[in-house]
Parts: sequence; structure tokens; C-alpha cells
Amino acid sequence: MTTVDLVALRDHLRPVGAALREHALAIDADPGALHTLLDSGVLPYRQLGGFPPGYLDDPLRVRGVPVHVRTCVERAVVAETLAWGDASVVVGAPGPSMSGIVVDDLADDEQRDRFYRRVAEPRTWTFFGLTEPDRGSDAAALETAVVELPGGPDDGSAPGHGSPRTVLRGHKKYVGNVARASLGVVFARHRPGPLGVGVYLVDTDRPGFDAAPLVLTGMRSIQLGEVRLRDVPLRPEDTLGRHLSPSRRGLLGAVRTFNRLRPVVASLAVGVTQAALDYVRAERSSFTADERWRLETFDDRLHAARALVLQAARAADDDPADGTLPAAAKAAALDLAEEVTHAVPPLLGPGARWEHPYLDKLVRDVPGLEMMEGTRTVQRLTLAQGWLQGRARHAELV
Amino acid sequence: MSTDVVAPAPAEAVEVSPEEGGAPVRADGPAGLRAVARELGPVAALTALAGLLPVAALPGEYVLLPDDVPPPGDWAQVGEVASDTGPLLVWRAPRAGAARQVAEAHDAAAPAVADAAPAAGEAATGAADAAPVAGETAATRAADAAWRIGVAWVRAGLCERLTDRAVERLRGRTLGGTATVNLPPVRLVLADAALAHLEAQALLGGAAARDAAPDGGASISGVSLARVTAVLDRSSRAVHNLFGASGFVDGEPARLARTIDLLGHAGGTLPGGTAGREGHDA
Repeated sequence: MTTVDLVALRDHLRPVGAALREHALAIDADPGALHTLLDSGVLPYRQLGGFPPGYLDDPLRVRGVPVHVRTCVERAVVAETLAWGDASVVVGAPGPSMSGIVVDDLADDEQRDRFYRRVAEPRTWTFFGLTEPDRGSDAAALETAVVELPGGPDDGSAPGHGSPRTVLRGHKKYVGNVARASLGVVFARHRPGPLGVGVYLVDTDRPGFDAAPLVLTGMRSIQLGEVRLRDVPLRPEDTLGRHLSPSRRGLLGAVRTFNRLRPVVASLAVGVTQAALDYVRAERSSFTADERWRLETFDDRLHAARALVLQAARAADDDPADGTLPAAAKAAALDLAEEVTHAVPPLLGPGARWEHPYLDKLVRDVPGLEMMEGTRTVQRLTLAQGWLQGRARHAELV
Repeated sequence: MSTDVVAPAPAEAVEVSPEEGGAPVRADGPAGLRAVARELGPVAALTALAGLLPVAALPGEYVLLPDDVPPPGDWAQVGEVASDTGPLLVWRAPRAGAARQVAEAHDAAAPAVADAAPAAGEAATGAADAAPVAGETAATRAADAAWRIGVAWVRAGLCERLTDRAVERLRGRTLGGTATVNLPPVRLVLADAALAHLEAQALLGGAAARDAAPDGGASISGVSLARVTAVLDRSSRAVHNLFGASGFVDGEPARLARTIDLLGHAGGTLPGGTAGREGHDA
């Protein structure tokens, strides 16, 4: 559990969220404008990235207390506060991101050090290579494979001359930041069966790693891309969780990562919802009774969603193997974000989507949150299953 | 005062050249726009709509038009939407005062809906005291209402088009060895979409009002139009989500979904005057 004063953390980061708002439309129009934001220095992305102690000389300090943003609760509060300005920048900023969480779960000491030393360098992006164009996020059906090539002169990446070369071969798509990342993780099948999927730490400058960005409809900072893995050399030390039993690595690592990330995605949705409600109140000083009732209802639901998200984050910190509350949080927060972002523009007139482009951006951003870490349909199935198994029935939301 | 809007009178069949070329497309009336939208997409459907009805909007309001359909008078272009079949331009009608000339031009264009249109705005929002904006005339509002109902038919067809595209995609994918389209959660979304399409058709076709009206005449209320918009909004968003991440990149599904969304935003309800106007202090 975190000992950080969450209210103080929100207050500390509120100006950063406001600064992100000022850059939001420029980045939406041109994702390359993210560099202008990074140059401005208003986004302490390294301090917010979730580095373990020892990899940053100047961690975030809130009322004098160092905050490393390592827990799900801390990540959720950071994400919500910054998403008020621009949710896509939270996901698209350089740093450990999703890969950091799976590295935390699966890597041995050498791998963890290799990863974080590299990512601690300024402007270093990472990627999380799971989704495939023909398989989606059906991790059990991955086609990307670890292939043993016949022995022969190798390129130095294999353990020894003349031994078989181990390579990655496949195609990943909808992978955030992949075209500008320096390293990340790739999920690939090394043998048939449910335990046959491994996670590999891969540098993007290896031969055969060919990544390109895709054009998105929203959340443009995240720069989704696709990568073709054309016999990318693998080393034995690239296998995350090599010191763990087969049942602890591979897909299980992905499940635990997703369970920790869902409250964060949900918190992004809460931040977007708050932004939409604040925006309309800033643009209109008065409302009809019916409109006021609708807005107050949204306020109530937002408070409830925020409480649920925080409780889910605490649950994920306590037991990342249980995805019940994280699933509930994501479903509830996304339901609300979608509804509010569509309900607010008409309150500013029939052409608000053109006259208030920030609102239009919010509408376009929310589907990006929907696809992250599983759609709401999947979340509902997870929630139902967990509830039937007796979980999340006694959650206390205060 | 009546809250009904008479359905746009079917006009003579118009011929529209589809984007893909080939035989001209005939839209025999507003209901026919649905099929054009489903089969040929938004550009052809809105072109067909403009062939059936004069392009109309109230002062300061918005329409989306293909680039070869000119807006009336001195309308201002404020944006562009990339649909799945080509660009649509976003036009704003002149604001109050500047719109009188355009309104007069419309007076002669849509007499069929003139009488009933004023009440529709009230029904759409429940704002009984909604006063016409300067520059509006009864005929302007009638033409606007007719256009919105035509747009709703187009949206109904586009929602079916989006659903067809989703089904095509999901038939070719599997999850855990099962065709994605056969997964129960997916089927529930598709069933809800089908229900939405059926309800929209029934409401736009005036079935509800016809049953309620003593004279049995076909009419569409502002409330009905708002309901159509709401069910199509919800349906299209749910179906769009079936595309997963592939619907979030700038491709045909995303463009089609966004077109459906923006058409609803621009003309999904009949204006009643609450938005942007002063009310109680918040």
C-alpha cells in the first residue's frame, strides 16, 4: 500500500495537467509536436515514469517526500491528474510504461538493470509487443514465434559459433510507441500449448526489427505502430522470467501486467471525464434545470467511478493476479467517459464539435482508452467470472 | 400545439452516380436513402438526399455535404470530414440576420413540412417556450426538419453499413478457436444493433405516430427523432468497438463511425433552443 499523500500528489501535478492542456491540440494535429512539449520541460516524464529507486537522481518530491510512482495507486492518481490535460501524452511519453511493469514482474536482476539503465536515458521510449494483426490480443493464439535456425556463422548474437541461431519471426500491430522505442518486450510462442508463450526483452536496433507508425483517429501521442520481426536475433538473456517456473512467466506475466494497468487506464478515463465537465462549465455560466440535473448526475457518477478506480488500484497492488476490481473499474470509467464526452458538446451548441476542438479531441480519444488492456466487453466477462467466484463482492468504496 | 413533424414527402426518384461508378443510384424517397447509405456509403447517400430535398439548416447550424453538393447562399465552410467513401465538407448556415435571404429561398422549397415543423423543436427538447431565432421562418424550420429526418435515414443506413463491415471482419477472425462473430458477447452487440436499426426504421417511418394519430397520418415527432439519434449513437459506438484497435487507426471503419457520429451531432435532434442559451444559474 502506498504511504504517499494522494491529495498532495494531485495538487502537485495539477499545474502539469494544465500545461498539457495547452499543448493538447497541437499534438493532436501533429504527434511530432510532442517533442515541443518535452523540450518545454513542463512534463517531468522521467520522474513520473515509475523507475525503481536508484535509477533517478531526482525523484519526484511531494511535500518533501520522494514519490517513485511505483504502485498502481500512485500511477492511477498521476494518470488521472495529467489526463485532465491530455491523456494521450500520459501513454505516449517516454519511459518504462507497460514494459516496466512486466519487467518488474518477470525480469531477473540483470535484466531489470539492463532495462532501467537504458530507459533512464532521456527520451527513451519502450514498447509492449503483444497484439497481432490477425490474432488481435488473443495471446493464446500468437503466431509470432521463436525460431531456431540451423547453425553456421552467426552474427555474434547467438551463444556460440556454430550453434543454432535463435530468432524472432512475426508481425505485431497496434503497438504503442514502437517506431520510436529503443527497447521493449515481445510476446512470442516458443512451443505449443498454454505455457509455450514467452516474453522477450528486445532492443529495436537489432537487425530485422522493422517498425513504422500508424495514423490514429485520436490519442495521437501514443503513436501506435506495427513491427515486422524478420529473424530478429535473440540471446538467452533476453528471455524474461528465465529464473521462474514456466507457470509464472509468459502469459501469466501479461495477465498480471494488464491487471495492474487497467486501473490506470480507468483513471485516464476519469481524468478525461473531469476535463469534459470542467470544460463545459468554463464555457457556459448557466444551465437550464434539466441540464444542471444531468451535469450533477455526471458529477455523482464521476465521484463513484473515481472511488472504484482507486479501490481497484489498491486491489491490484495487493494481488495483481486478481483482475476483478480492475475490470469493474475500467468498464465503469469507460462507460462514463464515453457518455459524458458525447453529452457535453451539444451543451455548447449544435456546432460544438467544430467550434470547440478540444471537446472533439476528447470524443476521439476515448475509443483509444477502450482498446487498451481489453475492451469493456472483456472487462464485463472478467467481472462476472470474478463475482461468481466470490471476488469483489465485499469491496468497500469510501 | 402539435408536436409532430410530417415526414418528408417522397419526391420523384433521383439518380445519383455512385462513387464507384456504374449504374446510377435511385433513391425513391427518404426511406430509400437508407439503402443507398448502406450499400454505397455517406457520399452517395448525402448526394441522394440533396437530390430529394433542398439543403437546409437553421441560422448558425451545420450540415455535412459532399464536395459536389453546393450549400445554399453564403454558407461558411468550417471543416472537413474524411468519410469512408470520400470527403464531406462541413458547412455552417449564416447566423441570425444574415440568414433571412436563405430562409426565404427555402420557403418555396419545402412546403410539405411547413405547418408542423414549429412544434417539432419544442418536442425535441421539451422546451415549450423555445422561441424561433431571428431569421427563422416556419418554412425554414420545416425545411430544416425535413433535412434532419433525411440525415437520420442516412445514418440508419450507415449504421447498418458499419455493422456489415464489422461482421465481415469478425467472420474472418478467431478467438480461442471460435469465430469471433460467434462469441456470445459479440452476438449480443449485433443483436442490440439489429434492434436499434429496426427501432430507427419504425420511428422514422412514422409507425409510432401513425398508431397514435387519430387520422392515421404518418408523422415523425421531435421526440422520435431524438430517440432515433440516441439508439443509432449507442449502436454505432458499440459496433465500432467490435473493430478493436483496427477501428482506432485511420481506416474505413473509423472514418465511417466518425461520419455517423458527426452527422448525428450536426443534425441528430430538432433544435429546441436550450443549448447555448441562458437558463438557471448552475
